[in-house]
Parts: sequence; structure tokens; C-alpha cells
Amino acid sequence: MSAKEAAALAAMLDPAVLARVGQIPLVARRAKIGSVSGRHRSPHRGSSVEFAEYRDYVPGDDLRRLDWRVYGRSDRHFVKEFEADTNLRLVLVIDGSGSMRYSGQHGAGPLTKYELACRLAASIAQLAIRQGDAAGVTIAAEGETVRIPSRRRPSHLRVLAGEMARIEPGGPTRLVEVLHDVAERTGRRALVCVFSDLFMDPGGLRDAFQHLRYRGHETSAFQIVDRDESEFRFEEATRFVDPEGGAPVLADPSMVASRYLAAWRRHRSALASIALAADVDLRETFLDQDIASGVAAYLLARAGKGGRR
Amino acid sequence: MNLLQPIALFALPLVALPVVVHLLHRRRHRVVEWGAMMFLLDGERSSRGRQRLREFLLLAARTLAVLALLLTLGRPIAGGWAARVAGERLDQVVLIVDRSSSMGEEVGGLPETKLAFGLRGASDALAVASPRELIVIDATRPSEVLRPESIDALSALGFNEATSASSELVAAFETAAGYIEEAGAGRAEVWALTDAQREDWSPEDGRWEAVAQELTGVSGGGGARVRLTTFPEVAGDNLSIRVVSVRRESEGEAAALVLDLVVTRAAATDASGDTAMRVPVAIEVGGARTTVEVELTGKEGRLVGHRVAIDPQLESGYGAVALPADRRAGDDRFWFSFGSTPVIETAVLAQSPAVGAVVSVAAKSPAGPDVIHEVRQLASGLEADVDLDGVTFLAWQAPLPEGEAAAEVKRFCEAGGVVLFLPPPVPAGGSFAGLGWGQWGLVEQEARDSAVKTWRADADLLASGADGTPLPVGEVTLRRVCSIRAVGEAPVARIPIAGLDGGQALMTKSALGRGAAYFMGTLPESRSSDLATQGIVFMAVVHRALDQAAAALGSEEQQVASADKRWLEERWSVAASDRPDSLAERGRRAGVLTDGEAFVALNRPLAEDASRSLPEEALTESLAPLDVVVTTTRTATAGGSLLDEVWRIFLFLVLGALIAELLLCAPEGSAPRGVEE
Repeated sequence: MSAKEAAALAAMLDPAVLARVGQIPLVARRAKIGSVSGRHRSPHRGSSVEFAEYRDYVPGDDLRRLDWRVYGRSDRHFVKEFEADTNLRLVLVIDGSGSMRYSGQHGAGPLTKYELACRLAASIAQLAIRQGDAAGVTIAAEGETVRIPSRRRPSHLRVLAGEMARIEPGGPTRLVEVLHDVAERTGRRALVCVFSDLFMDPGGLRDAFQHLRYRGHETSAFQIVDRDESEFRFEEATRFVDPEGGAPVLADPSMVASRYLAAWRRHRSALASIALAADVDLRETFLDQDIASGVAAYLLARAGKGGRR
Repeated sequence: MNLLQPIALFALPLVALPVVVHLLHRRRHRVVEWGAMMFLLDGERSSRGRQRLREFLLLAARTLAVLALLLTLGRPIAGGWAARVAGERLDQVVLIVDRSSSMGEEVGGLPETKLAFGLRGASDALAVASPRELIVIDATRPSEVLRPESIDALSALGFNEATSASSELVAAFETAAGYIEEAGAGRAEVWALTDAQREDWSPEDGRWEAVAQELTGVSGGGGARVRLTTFPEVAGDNLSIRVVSVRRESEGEAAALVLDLVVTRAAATDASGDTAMRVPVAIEVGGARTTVEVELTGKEGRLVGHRVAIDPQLESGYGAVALPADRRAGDDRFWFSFGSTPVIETAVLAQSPAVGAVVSVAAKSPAGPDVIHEVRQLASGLEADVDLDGVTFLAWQAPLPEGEAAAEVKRFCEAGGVVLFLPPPVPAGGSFAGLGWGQWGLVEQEARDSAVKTWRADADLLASGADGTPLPVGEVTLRRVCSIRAVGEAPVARIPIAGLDGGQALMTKSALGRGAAYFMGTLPESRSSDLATQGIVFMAVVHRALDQAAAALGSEEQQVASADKRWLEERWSVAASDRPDSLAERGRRAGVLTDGEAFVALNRPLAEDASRSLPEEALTESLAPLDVVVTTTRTATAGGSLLDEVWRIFLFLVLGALIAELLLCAPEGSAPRGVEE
């Protein structure tokens, strides 16, 4: 098993990605609660070296944290607060539905959307573990929800890779359900990275994202699509078979293209507004896109927006 | 609508081809596992109806294209002559073909003559109508009935080339009516191809009424339908040439021909509106060819007294004048022959010396420089022993001939001679050609100055002039008139030429063979009339009789091409012609005939150059009350017959269907983006 996992990990991790993005930190934009002191801001004020602020003492505050010198000088009760650093808990949620099996008709590449999702997830997990954060995976597969808890051990990567490689995408999407589940189960605030084509009802997705946000998690969503899907480049009559079990559709692409594209654009703008409302970092990722540059763009965007204050 | 090539309908199952292709196409689609079904379903659901409709329209357009193509191949006909006969089963079609010279003109925009074009159309129409019997009557020889296997078979024999003769359409209709009545077949139709030239149709002819009557009674009383295809348009730039006179002059060693010729143009100006024009005219005599330019002003240009030097040894011969080829080939050449000046001899037998003198004077008066008129007085009292050798016209004022003499006069008439009988002072019994003399009677005093009430002004001796000016027959003063009796059952037609008030005949004609006998009931002397003093009417009578006889006897060198049997006689052979002819058409083709001694030039009649077409109403009026369908082929509509236009419509249909197909196939994505949102 270990050998298998190692092979899966080797397949998923491209050294080029690490070479390119290894120096970019994975930064949480919102404060996280971690068990280990790390590079991420913790919501807890406490024993640290970086002074944050004074505030009035309120009953219940730890008396040990009262600033006695200020009390001595001003006869008022102040509590001195410090920034606390913590480690990040990264939860990678991968959509394992049938639609993720698509690999493109126009020679986009050998990867399916699921495979790309796994490679992105693995790369990000690797980065997180390298910087001492914990990473875990939840896969919304057909009939089962695979949950690998977050660990900081480097060897945990192999476990993640092995699980991701084991799962064959198929069946209807269960992403919304799984996201709700993740929101509930993940106790501490975490960075949730969702890898999916997000081909689902925007309403359900909105609820799931809101739920995550409510629970204090920070969410990034990688919408993985192929250019076939975004541009609908078909010419001859085609029978479209639903990998998620729906009725097949026989269509002349020239006749349905405009309506398809209109529906696509509507969906896209719906997703964009949901992402805005639920504070989700939504990134459209194409199947033919280079993984390294995709990850790099993500990391850089985060580092730029949400670095340490 | 009908098809000329219904065999194309066998390919009709090909119409199913687009449907089959469509079905195959539906089966042959590729299969894609597609994740983004939600968008597809969204698009598909809302466009399903539209897509169905589009698919249906596409299929319809393709099917229509194939169908229209097949129909085009089937040579559809609609409208026009051919289509109207379609679907009506005919027992008999009598096709009257006007092969007169003017039908040799090209139809505008086509390198095809009116005649050939019309025959082709008729052939197509016959293919549709497929009558049990096809009769063809050549209007230039209306007495003959042809029964060809098909029009194409006739055309192969040169029937589609116009002759140089004129047509007698009324005679052709007469023959047709007679034939249909005799055959008594079921449904019969008379089809005629003509350019409706006034002279060929001669709408004034009294026979039209009889023809219409006869045709109304056929087909079990239903009447025969008449379909006319007319070509009334005349090429404005057409030039024609005609030799007015030709004579040989010799002076010492040299000899020359002196020619007067006239070139006429159908329109007064050319295409650029210029009235003046120079035309080269080639003159061919005895193998030599010279060219002279003739200047036209307006419609006409004349060349008068043009001398062409000829070999002095050439006593007689022939030649031609020719214009450059134009749209009517038949009038670009005019043949002439020359020789010693012909002599036309008149024989006069008169009991009254005064009458003899007046006839002599009238006959001798020169009508032109090309002819010498001589008069031979036959001694009165020698009626039994007349010698009419070489005589062209005979005036007879004596008791009617009997026995040998009657046989001689009859022979003379049948050969083409004309005899004018004048009443003797004491009319005796006897008859000639179904006519005889009655008694002299005085004309009442008050009626004398306008005694002649009716006369035939359209033809014959008292016809009006070429420009329509009537002869002043009504102004002739008659003092006494000898009545003309019809005797027995006439073997030949007795035609009244002039009559008095109350129906008494003044002049009656009895046709005999190619000639005729005229009886005139008064004398050109003062006791009987003022015909001698007011000489115009009598001069016209005598000279027309002379011309008629001279033409019939062939004693003139310049003749009009016609179906006259004389030219079929063995003694004539073709010396020169526009084209090699079949024997049957000899005489109807322009050219020069020779009997070994003299040359006779045959040319188209003057009327053929005039090109005056009758309007459609005049044609239908002639044939009233028959059901007449007139199809006019205008030369302006290049392409002419509707036949062609119909297949063109179908080709356009093919094109239209293909364009529609193309538009329907165009991807919707080509619409500007953002319109949907």
C-alpha cells in the first residue's frame, strides 16, 4: 500500500510546481485557530511577542494578563493583548462526481477534470505541509465520502495521494451535501479548498458556502472546466450522454450553441455573485492550464490580498 | 404544367434522398460523455421547438431543391402554346406553316429564324398533344397536304428554311378546313405559324368567312380550335435589296448592264438615330463581282443607271445583287436576268374598228422600258381560224368562238393567257367558259353617271392601286350595257368583278387553267360608255390583263417566286440559286431558272419586304366566331417562348432552396454575442 501511495504521490506531484511555487507561502486571509504556533494569525490573543492592543478588563479575563504597570500608574484595569500565530488547517474538498471524468474533446490533454483537481489539491497540500500546516482531504465520491483528517506529517501526503488515486469519479454530484458536512465536522476554523466543476444548482451551492463562512472557515473554490464546456466547440450532431445518470441529449451543436452559452454565462455570473456574497475565492481553472501557474496565481493572489497585517 | 421529358419522373424517388441522408445523419452522430448537461438541457429545452422547425425547414428546402432539379430536367412547360394543348387528347392537328420569305428573319436574340423557332415550338407542342394524325400545309403551296411522321422529319428535309415565295394563308386554311371536314375525325385543331403579314393573310378576302363557317361545323359541331403562333416583330435594322430594272446596252465593242436598284431599311434610322447610312452592294454578273456603295436616307436608298461592264459576247445571262448578311437572309440578294428586250404581243379581233383602235392604243402604250408591246390585229370574219401563237393577251369583240377557234382560245387561256370578251354589235348565242352574251340594254338617263355600283377593289383587273387609291370605276359613264349570261353548270368559278345597280353584271371573270376569260358588258366607244375618253379605267384593265398573262406565260424575265406548277416543268432547270433546292420547291426559291435559251430570275414578292404585320385582333376577327388562341412571340423577349422560362424558374427554385438551406445551416453563434443576455 505504501508503494502504491508513493507512486500515486509521484504521479500527482510535479517537481516543477514545487520549484516554481515553493517559495510562495500559503497564506490564510482570515485568522485561523491552530494547535501549533505557525505562520498564520490566530484568533486568540495571548502569549506571543507581538503586541496587539490594550483593552478594558472585563470580568472573566485571565487576571494573569492584566497589565499591572498600567494599573499601578492609572488605577485602571487594562489587559495587554498580543497577536498570536497559529498553524493552518487545510481541508481539500474534491468533487468526485461523473462530470469530473471529462477530459476534453479537442486534445486539451490527457488529464480528466478529476485528475487535475487531485494534482492541484496535492500540490497545495504539499505546500501546506511543507510550511508546517495540516492538510486533509474530503472526496465527494459516488456512494461514499472519503475523509482523511488533517495532519502535519509530511508522510501524510502519501496517504492523501493514495486516497485521491483510489477514487474513481462517477455518479451524481454530492458536493453540496459534503460541503455542509465539512462545515459541521471541521471544528476549528480552517481553509477549505473546493475542487469541482460546480455544475450544480447555484442555490444549493450558496447555502453550502454560507454555511462554511458561518462556521468561520475560509473557502477557496477551484472551478475546473474544459474549454469545450465553456465555449461549446462542437460541429457535428452529437449525442451528449450524462455521466451522472441523466437522460442523454441528441443535439445539433449549431442549433443549441447560443442557448448553451447563454446558460453557461448565466451560471457563471450566478457563481460569481455567490462567491462575492460568501467571501469565496473563486478561481476558474481550465483543463489545459498549467498546474504550476495555476497554483502560483492562487498563492500570489492570496499573499497579495491577505498577508500579515 | 407538363413535362416534355416525363422520363425524368422516374428519378422522383431521389426526392427521398435528403430524408434518407437526414436519417443517416441522425444515426451517425458521435457520442460524448458530457458533464455540463445542465446548460445543454437548458438550451435544448428552450430551442427544441425551434430546432424541430428548423430541421423540418432544412429538410423541406433540400427536398425542394432535388425536386425542382428533377422537374427542370423534365423540361417543364407552362403557359404558352405547348402547355395549353397539354392534357387535351387531339385526333387531328393541321399545322399551317407560313414559309414565306419574311419568316426567314431571325427571332430577336436567337440565331434561329422565326420559321425554325416556330417549328421547334410546334414540335414540342406536338410531343405533348400527340394527336393521332398530323397534317402539315405549307402556306406557300396551300393546295398540297403533307403527312409527315414528325415535324423533325420535315425539318430534316429543309422545311424549316423559308422559301422566297409569299404565303396564301386563306387558301391554306381553306385546304385545312376542307381536309378536316372530309376526314370527319373527332377533335381537330388548326395550328398556324405565321408572321401575320398583311399581304399573306389578306384579311379582306371573302374566303375567310367561308373558312370560319366550315371550321365551326367540324368536330361534331364543336368547331375546330385555331391556335396561332405569330411573330409580329420586325428587325428594324433589316435591309433588303431589289432590282427595279436591268437592261443590256451595247455600244460598238463594249457592252454594259444598266441597273436601277433600291435598298430599303425597315426603320428610318439606325441604332444611333442616324438617318443616313452607306451600304456596300455586291453586283455579280457572269462570275465577275463588283461592289458599289449605296447611300440610304431614311428608309430607302436608290442607285439609278448604274453601269456594269460585261463581256460583249454575253447576249443574255443572269446575275445578282447582294447586301451584307443581316437578320433576314432571304432579302439580302436579288436575282436578275437579262437578254434581248422581250416582246409582249396582244391580239385584237374587233368587229367595230373604233373598239379595235382603242384596245390597240391601250395595249401599245409602253408601261416600262424593259418590254416591247406589239399588237396584232386579227381580221374580223376569220374567227374560225385564229392563230394565237406568241400572243399574251387577246381582246375579242366578235361573236363568241366556236369549234376549233373555241378550243384554241381555251388552250390559250389554260396556258396562262388572258382573253377579254367585248360584246359584238349584235350579240349572238353561244357561250365560252360558262358565260355568254345577253342583249344590249340602255342605261337610264339619270343613272348613267354612276352606273357601276360594285366592283372588286381588292384584287383582279379593277383592284385599287398599290397605295390603296381606288380606280375611278364609279365615275364611269355607261350609256348601254350588254348583259352577261351564265350558261349551264360552269366547270369553273364565275367571279363577278363589277356590277350595276340592281345586280346586273358589268364584268365577270371565268378562270380557265392558269389564265382567265373576262366578259365586259360595255364597249370603249362613245355610244356605249366614256371608257375610251376617260381612259384610266380601261388602260388599267388592259395593262393588268397583260401583266397577269405575261406573268402566267413566263414571258417576263423577272418573276416572283411562287408555287406555280410551271416551274416544275421539265424544261426548266436551276441556273443559280441561294441554296440547292429540292425539285418540289423549285420556283419557290429565289434564283435563276433557264430553259436552255432564256433565263428567268425568280425573287420574293415585293410585299414580303414591306413587313406589315396585322394586329392580333385582325387575325381573330378573320376567323370569328372560331375559338382562336393567339400566342405572340415577341422578338424583344430574347429566349422567346415561355417554354424556356419555366425551366429557368425551376432552376431559380433550386438555387433558392439551396440558399435557404445554407441560411438554415448557418450556426446560430454567428449572431452577435450578448444579444441573448
